[in-house]
Amino acid sequence: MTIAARAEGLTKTYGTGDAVVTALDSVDFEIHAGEFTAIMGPSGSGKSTLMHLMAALDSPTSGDVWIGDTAVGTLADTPLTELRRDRIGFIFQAFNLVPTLSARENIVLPLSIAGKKVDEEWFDRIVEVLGLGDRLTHKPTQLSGGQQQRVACARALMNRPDIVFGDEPTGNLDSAAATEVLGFLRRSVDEFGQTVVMVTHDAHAASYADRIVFLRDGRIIHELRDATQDELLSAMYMLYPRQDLAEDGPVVYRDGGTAPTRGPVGEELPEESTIERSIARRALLG
Amino acid sequence: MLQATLKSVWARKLRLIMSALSIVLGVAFVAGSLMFTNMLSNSFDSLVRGALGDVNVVAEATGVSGFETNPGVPPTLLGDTDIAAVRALDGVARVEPMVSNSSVYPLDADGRVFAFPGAPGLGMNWQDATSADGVAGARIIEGRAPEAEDEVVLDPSTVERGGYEIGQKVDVATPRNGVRSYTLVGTGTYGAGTTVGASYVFFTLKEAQLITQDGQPGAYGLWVQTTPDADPAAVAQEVDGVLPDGFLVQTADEMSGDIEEQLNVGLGFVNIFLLVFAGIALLVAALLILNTFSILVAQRARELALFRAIGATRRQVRTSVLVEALFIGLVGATLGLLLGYGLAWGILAMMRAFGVDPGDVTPSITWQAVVASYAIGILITLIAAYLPARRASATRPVEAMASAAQSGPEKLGGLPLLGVALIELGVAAIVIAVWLKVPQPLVWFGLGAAVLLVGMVIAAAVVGGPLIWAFGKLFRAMFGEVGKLAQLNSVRQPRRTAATAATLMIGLALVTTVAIIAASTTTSIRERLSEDQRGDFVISPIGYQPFDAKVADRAREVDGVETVYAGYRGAAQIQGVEAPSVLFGMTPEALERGTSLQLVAGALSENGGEAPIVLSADYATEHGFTLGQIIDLVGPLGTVPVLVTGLHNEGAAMPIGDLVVTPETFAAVTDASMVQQLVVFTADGADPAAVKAGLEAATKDTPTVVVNDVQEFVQSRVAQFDQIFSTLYALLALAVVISVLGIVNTLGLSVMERTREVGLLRAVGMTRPQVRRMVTLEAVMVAVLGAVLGVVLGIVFGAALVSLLREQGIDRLVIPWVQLLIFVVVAAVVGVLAAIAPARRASRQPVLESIATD
Repeated sequence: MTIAARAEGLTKTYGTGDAVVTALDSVDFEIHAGEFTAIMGPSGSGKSTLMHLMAALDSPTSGDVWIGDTAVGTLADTPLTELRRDRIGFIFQAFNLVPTLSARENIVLPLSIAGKKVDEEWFDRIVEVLGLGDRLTHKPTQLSGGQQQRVACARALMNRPDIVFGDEPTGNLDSAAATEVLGFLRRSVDEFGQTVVMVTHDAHAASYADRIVFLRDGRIIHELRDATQDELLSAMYMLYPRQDLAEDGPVVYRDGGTAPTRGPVGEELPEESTIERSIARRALLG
Repeated sequence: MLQATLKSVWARKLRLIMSALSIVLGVAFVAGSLMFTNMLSNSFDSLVRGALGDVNVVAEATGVSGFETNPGVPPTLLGDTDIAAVRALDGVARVEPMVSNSSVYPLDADGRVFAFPGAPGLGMNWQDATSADGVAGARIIEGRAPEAEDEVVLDPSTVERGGYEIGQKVDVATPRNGVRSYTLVGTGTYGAGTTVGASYVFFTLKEAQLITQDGQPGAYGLWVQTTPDADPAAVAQEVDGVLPDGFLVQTADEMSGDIEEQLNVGLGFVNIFLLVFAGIALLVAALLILNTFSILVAQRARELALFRAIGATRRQVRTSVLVEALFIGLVGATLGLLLGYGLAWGILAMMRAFGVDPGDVTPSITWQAVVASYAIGILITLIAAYLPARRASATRPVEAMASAAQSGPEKLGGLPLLGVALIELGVAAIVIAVWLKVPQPLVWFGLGAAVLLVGMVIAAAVVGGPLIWAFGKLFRAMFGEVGKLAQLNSVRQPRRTAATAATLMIGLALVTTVAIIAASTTTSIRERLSEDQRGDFVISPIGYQPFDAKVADRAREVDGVETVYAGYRGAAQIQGVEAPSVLFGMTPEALERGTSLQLVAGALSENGGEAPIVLSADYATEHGFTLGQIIDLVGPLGTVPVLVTGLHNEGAAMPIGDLVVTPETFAAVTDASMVQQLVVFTADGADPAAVKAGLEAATKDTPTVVVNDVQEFVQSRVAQFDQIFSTLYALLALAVVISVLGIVNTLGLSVMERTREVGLLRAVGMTRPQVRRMVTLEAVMVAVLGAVLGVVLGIVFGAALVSLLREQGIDRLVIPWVQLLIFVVVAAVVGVLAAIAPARRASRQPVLESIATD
């Protein structure tokens, strides 16, 4: 299996002196091409930091990142920017679109910035898959949250990047819209052979991935491939242990929600509550 | 809540500084203009009143100016008996004779006059009677008063400029005795010490009489100091009773009123200009502050929403914003006031550097400036903050917290329509002023211009629309996506963009107006002078004051000189006409060859034994004189019957008056020992340089005159106007600087506001240079928009004003296109410069943090 990107001994610390916080602690990580990878972990686990480093949005305190064969650490700002522009696609949790540009203009933005021609056939195909055909002339403010994220997905795919990174791409969406976006990311892997990496703390979102990597306290603690719901749930226990209860007691998330523990295997996950929690948390954190 | 507000203000220092900066700039602009205006007007007031006695007596023929004897009219003088009679009156404490002349110039080490162009060189007798209002009159600052005939006292600023020291010899150019040497024994000045560019030379009475009255005893005027309990008006009446006819007795109040009226004719333009300037300053300041606060409150929407969410009432939120505004307004106004004080000093220094010395004055922080500063700083800030604060407090907390910290898209609403209506009104008023015969066209124009300007400010977003659109096209073609984003950013908040551009528009409208008037004036004058000038050399005096006629004889003896035509200038009146007129004396040949005076009818030629006179056509029409009529010409020396033999239409370069006679007639009615101008023709084949050197040698003893070849002469006259316009430009530079800083500020805040968006653009592949270019292009667009609108407005103003000033001799409308184009190009460059800091900031933002910013 081809390696789309990899990291060796990746460490990231913030602050100095007594206030040093280690967000990532000597992590080795590989992203396989043509695979949908989810990075999971509680808040502060370092999952976002890992993604930002892999996506060349941030530079590590120590360690190296390669995207394909390119060592990111040695690049100056401009080639780094161009690498992001040409070889990486992004979907952020919110504020993905330039408010002055229409949906179509946002989708082709990285190409326009680079001064490249738009592959109209590819554009039409993406737009069709995402169902954005009648929304192309709208400004972001005229689009629903789900539509905005779909436009962001289209933009991320438009320049056929090596890797698409999503930073909680469904974090701000209701369940229907989230399902649409996740379904599309899945299809892009299956149909276009796209490599996708997504950070999430939503088990439902992670369940769309081929491979799930679990982080806690700056380290990779577990990894699942083609996980069953059972495996996913037990991994969740590991991520969100409740210290004050016995092993078999009800697990409560750090943010106060109850983990989906008691449901019989095979039953639908209570995805609504998870998403609502996400929204609630986001609102609280501002 | 109050504490939370102040903490939040303090916590965002950069934002605090930037918002305060807009207030500081605005207030400084207004305060500086006010202080400077006040300083100028004070300097004239104090000059006038400080140089007047409680009761003043002057010979009527000299007019009210009180400083000078009218050229050519030997004054009737008051003798010792008259002085004794006045001294004996009740209520009179002291009487001093006054003898003065306004073409007495001290010379520098090289023997040249160093007076400011056009400024009088006052020479007078020393006397230290108290002036009106009990203010000290002339007083010694250093050294002592002149006691011997060869001693003088100069004013301190002249001493400084001339590099003299007390005890040194000082050469002084006198009106009819050439250069005389004196010992400088002290420095002294009048009243408040302002000389407004003039130089003062104080002599003993006897010496003053020698140089200004050819040694005749007596005085043309008296300075009367009343006893403290006396009523000056009553004393004036008594004085009038004991003096011979032909003398005007006035109290200080009457006289200063007259003088200020006269000065105001000249200063009026400057005063109106400064007033308009202050009004415009106010407008610019208000725009800057409104702009900044609408951005600030939008940025704070989230914080305010949090306050609301945790239980603050709407009222508390509003109060919080207003307290913040009050705080910033207070700080900004105070700093602005101080900066304005500095600016007034700056303009003063600039004027001095340009050679226009308003005298020994200092700007002071006046109560008007203080009131205006705080009123603007606090009031406008509060208004600016209130509207967005109301909006912020009315938003539901959840809505505000979810939305990005950004100003929402602006709706233009009905305001631009109002602006367009104002523009139409303003244009209509200007059209009426220019094309219709209305009384007071300048008032119509002024009102029209003000309304048009305000209309443009309000409607700039709409009026500038097509320009922005065109720029968008151009930028897209030149810079691709980056250009497009820049254009879209600039139309995102049309009102903000318009307000920012409007500040520059106002500045450039004024600059363009001045540029057009300057170009039109200098071209008109140059053309007229070139057309009117005759001869190869012109010998003319520095301060317009006539000079010794003997210079003409010496000039005639210079090798290579063919002819010298002398022009005499004085005052006389026609029997039956109340006011005296300017009398000009020249031979018929000189009139024809040496001037370009156009005769409408007849000629200056003897006909039937009577002395001929040529009248200006207007004068003849006004008083009903016709060709062939014999009239009596009355002058100080006598009355001569003259025959009207010709009519001329005035408007020659030499200020030829209403009455033109031969030198013989001139000498019969008035003093012909002084000439106004000499026109020199060189013989064929003479070397111009040698002739010029010869003429210069011939005028060596009269340093107050200059030998110019005609081209040089025209140039020197035009240069005087250039100097005036330079001063105006200096003042206007202030407006432009303020508006540029305004662009920097607004752009900086806009970039702060768009932190997240810039982060996103960087994440999806915009390089740092591209981000910088994007911000720069936006700044260029705003700057050029303001410049183009300003230049267009300025062309309208300038063209209208020139057509209104046609009567004043500006008969050519010249639009300096190249200069105007340079203004626009400079504005674009200024845009680039204004964008440096904000663009740098935007491009240096770390991508991740930008995206995470709220």
